Amino acid sequence: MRTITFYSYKGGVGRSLAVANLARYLASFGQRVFAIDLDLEAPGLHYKLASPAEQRSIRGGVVDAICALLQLGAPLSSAEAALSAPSSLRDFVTRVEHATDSGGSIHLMPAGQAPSAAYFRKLAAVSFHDLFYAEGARGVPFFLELTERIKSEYAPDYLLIDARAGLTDLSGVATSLLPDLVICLLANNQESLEGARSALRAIRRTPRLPGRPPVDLLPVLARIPRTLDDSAEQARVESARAFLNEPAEDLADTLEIPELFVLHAEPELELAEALRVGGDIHPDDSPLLRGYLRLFMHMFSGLIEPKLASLVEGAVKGAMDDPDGAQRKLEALTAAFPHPISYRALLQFYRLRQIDTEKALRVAHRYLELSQVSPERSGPPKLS
Amino acid sequence: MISLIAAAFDDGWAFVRQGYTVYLVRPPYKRSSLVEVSESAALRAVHAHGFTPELRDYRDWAALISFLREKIAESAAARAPRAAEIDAAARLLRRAPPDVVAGYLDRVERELLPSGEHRAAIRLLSALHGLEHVMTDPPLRARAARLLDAAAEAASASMDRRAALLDDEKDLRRKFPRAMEQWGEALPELMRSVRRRGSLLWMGE
Repeated sequence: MRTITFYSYKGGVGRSLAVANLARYLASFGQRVFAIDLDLEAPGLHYKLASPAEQRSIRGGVVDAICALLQLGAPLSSAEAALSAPSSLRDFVTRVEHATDSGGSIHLMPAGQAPSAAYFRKLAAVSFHDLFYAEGARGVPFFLELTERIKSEYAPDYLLIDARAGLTDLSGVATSLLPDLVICLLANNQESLEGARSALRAIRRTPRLPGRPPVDLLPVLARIPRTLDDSAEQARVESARAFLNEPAEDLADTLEIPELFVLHAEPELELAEALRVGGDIHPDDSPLLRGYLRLFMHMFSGLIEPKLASLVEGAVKGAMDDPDGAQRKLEALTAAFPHPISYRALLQFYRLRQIDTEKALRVAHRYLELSQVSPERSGPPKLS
Repeated sequence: MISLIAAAFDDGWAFVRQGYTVYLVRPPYKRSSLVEVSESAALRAVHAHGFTPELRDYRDWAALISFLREKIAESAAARAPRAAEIDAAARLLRRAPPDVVAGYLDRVERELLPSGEHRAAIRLLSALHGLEHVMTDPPLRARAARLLDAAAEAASASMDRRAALLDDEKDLRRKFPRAMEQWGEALPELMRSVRRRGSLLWMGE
């Protein structure tokens, strides 16, 4: 199980939406995904990931698990009862349906029945300071036990964590205790960049459990307006990257960010947030979707490429007998899995069939856009 | 039936046995703070953590807790004259000559620190350290500062040792079996370092 935390120093940068999109993306490649909402003060992952019916079926979540496992506030009456933890996480987890028949799955552990009054009453009863820093504090083993239980009960390939913004106790759990990789979404302004840089340096500085490697960091500029031309945008991205990599007072804290990915703003999302991955939207119509795909493709190339190559092979198998059918399958494949492999196959097919130039040029453009990788850098961390 | 095995009445911590299980209990006596420990942990506490052996039986938890609360109150009342004595000494020392101040520093070094009365030592040293004629006497000021550091360090070490009782491996294995299987002894060590740091993320000095 690989654990990926989505973190941001400031809110409103599309963190939960990115978690939900990645969950759909991985599930479409047959991966088992478990998503957990640790933004307990302002939870929202269930709105992005679950259908209204699934949202109504939520009976509990992280806050309920904390209260149940730690028996918070219970009077000392029966010693045995104090030590009987719930035997399963079932009551705190919701299964999320997704459209593909890939064999993948998504389970969601929401924060709880938010935004009900009962939820916030329960949350108010939890003292996070006591949970981590009081004598006999059990917060650290609780969250490690929770992830071990998720591993044993759901066997996910990926655990995705939606972290609380800012520097809080829970964001510390999500960014330093649990993850293999932290994706840090940041807006391109001074307060967001400075705050994120402090947080990223702190994540790197925080000691880990023995045998666990340092947390990989992948900062992503988010909600960038699509109003700049490519070179002006690139200059801003480079400037942000240079800022993050500036030498720290204690040189050992200096970050080494090889590349900054970009997720563009989409004004429609201000009116109604909607998933971009796994929906009806074509990458040609959504700069945000193209940004997600570039990012995810880079992170999971080892996972995606073999699966996609076999799908392409299947699509073109009957091309000699039914070229139109094969073309339709390839076009559907590029829409569902926009990736250089599927675009290259479609482009080759168009050229073979001498399809009209405009259509082929559009595919070529997308192919080049998705293939864009900085050759001089080793690139940010990849997971597979 | 619940049996009290050992207790530290200063702060109300106690080892008790119910059936075959030994627990460490402490204020505010909630079940979330109940820690299951091994018999040897209780023995170690008597030898190394200032607990005194006890042998009393109680019909239920309520009776035990009522007894412990009475003992805490008695212990606090017994300490009150010492606190009053220290406050009075601090008032008198405002005009005391350096040799009298040095005498009190001797007392801190020879009596209070070795007997584990760190809180009393810190209280007296804080009062001494703020006196004008100590501030203007470099050797006296340096000695008071050194003793204050030593008292603070000893108090913190004592709190750490007491807190370590709560991280008993048996209790952690019972409540967090998978995490303990995965991380073993590294887990209580991490818990202690997070508590010492006072934050999950290490923001630096």
